[in-house]
Amino acid sequence: MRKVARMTISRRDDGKGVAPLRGLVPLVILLAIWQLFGSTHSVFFPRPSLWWDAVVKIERSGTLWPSLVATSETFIEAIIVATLIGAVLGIAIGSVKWGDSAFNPVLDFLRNLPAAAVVPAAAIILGTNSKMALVIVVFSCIWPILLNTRAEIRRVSVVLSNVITNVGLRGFRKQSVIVGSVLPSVLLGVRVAAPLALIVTILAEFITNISGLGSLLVSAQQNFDSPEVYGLLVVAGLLALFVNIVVSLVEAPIVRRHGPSV
Amino acid sequence: MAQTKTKSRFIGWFAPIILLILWQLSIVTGIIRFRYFPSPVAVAQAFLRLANSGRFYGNLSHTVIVTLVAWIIATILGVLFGLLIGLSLPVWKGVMASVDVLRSLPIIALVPVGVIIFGFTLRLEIVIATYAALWPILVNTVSGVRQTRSELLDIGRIIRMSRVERVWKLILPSALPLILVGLRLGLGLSLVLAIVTEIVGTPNGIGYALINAEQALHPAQMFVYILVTGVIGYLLNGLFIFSARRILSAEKSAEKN
Repeated sequence: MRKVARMTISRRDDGKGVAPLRGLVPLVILLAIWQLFGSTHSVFFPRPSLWWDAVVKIERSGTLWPSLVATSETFIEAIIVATLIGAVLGIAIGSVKWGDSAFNPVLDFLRNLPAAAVVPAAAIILGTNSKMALVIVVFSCIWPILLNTRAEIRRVSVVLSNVITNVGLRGFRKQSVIVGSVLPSVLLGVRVAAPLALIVTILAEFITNISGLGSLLVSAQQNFDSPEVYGLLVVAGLLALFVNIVVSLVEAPIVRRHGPSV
Repeated sequence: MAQTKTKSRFIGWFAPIILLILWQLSIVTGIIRFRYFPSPVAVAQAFLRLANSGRFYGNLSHTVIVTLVAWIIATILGVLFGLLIGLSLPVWKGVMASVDVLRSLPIIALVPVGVIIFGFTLRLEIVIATYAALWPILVNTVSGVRQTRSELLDIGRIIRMSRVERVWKLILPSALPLILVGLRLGLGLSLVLAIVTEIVGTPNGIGYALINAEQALHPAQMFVYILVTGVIGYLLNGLFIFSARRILSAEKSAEKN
């Protein structure tokens, strides 16, 4: 009986929350074993220390930072554009009565269209340049933002529109109340969209070879420079981690002010 | 009620048709002037031509089979390891942070690593697609298992269920909805990554045909393949949701009995 009680409590204590950092130990041990027993000349599994050397080499050659900047630029612009368009379309579709039934099939189809398949089409129509990358990233990461906004406007619209009519808000002030009420949901959408946008940015660079982290990866792979490939993988991972941290930092105060969205 | 339903169906078909007509008109009248932007009619013609050729179905089945095989492997591994991690608090504390690091690596950056190790082979496709599908399944299994209500587990102990019985009869059913969400996400990712590896270089499948059509400057054919990937994704997703609902409702009715 005592055992039951103890186990119940321990479960309640740690039901959710962030995994403790000591969970990193297996990964560190794996890398350490790799470093100790890996071969210097292995094409498939080069030692982790060689990854570092490879990244330093790219940095010295002066291509690392410009590539990172190019990737980040596309990524950030795409997030901003997708947030604006997604929120506006989401509000528009959500507030019209027949919006859902009219646009659901189209939205459902477009949302399920793999971004990877659309990249070649965008490349052939718009040409291979960073504008094309922007279009394709916006196209693929707009859906979580749009759909979340639409769902939220749907949820709050009845109460909110009553309040708005009763208080007699019009024009800009009416719009700002609506925008304020859906803001947490928009941000929740951005949170889902951000990692996706980063992946699609790298993917577009990868497939079309426009400059950025993706094209660095392709050229490393085509030269069979495996330490460089592994090194760039880690760089991409760090970039993704950075994006996640920034998104949660931006999101936290707004959610605190407006309350969490469901 | 029935009337509104048919009405909304009707509206649902309306929007795509209007979009297609606008698309066709804007190209015919020259409002949109991109060199390689095909009209819907040209895409339809290309589809009819492709549908009569054997290679089309070969590529189609290749991609679908790779997607499903990778997804099934990922399901087995993900649910197994998810149970392992979710059932024991020490294991969860000991490895979950590593899992979080591995799963947040941008999957596309792993493709070149895979290419170096496996070359442009079928194995590459399956490994990459499996890796992509694995994480949502694993993570959702872990959180599904961990969210099992402790009262339920207490009851299991009180009526002296064995550990295996508790997992099979209490924990898995209560984790099922979340696991199904993971499976759905995994299925989509598996398809996307199969297509990515084909676009990047595996000489088979829809992605390969798509990139070939692009390089041969056949935009209409390319659009057919894009639409086909969309349809595959749509159908797989729809089929999955359909069967998931049946599984869940069967589960519910079993509970009632």
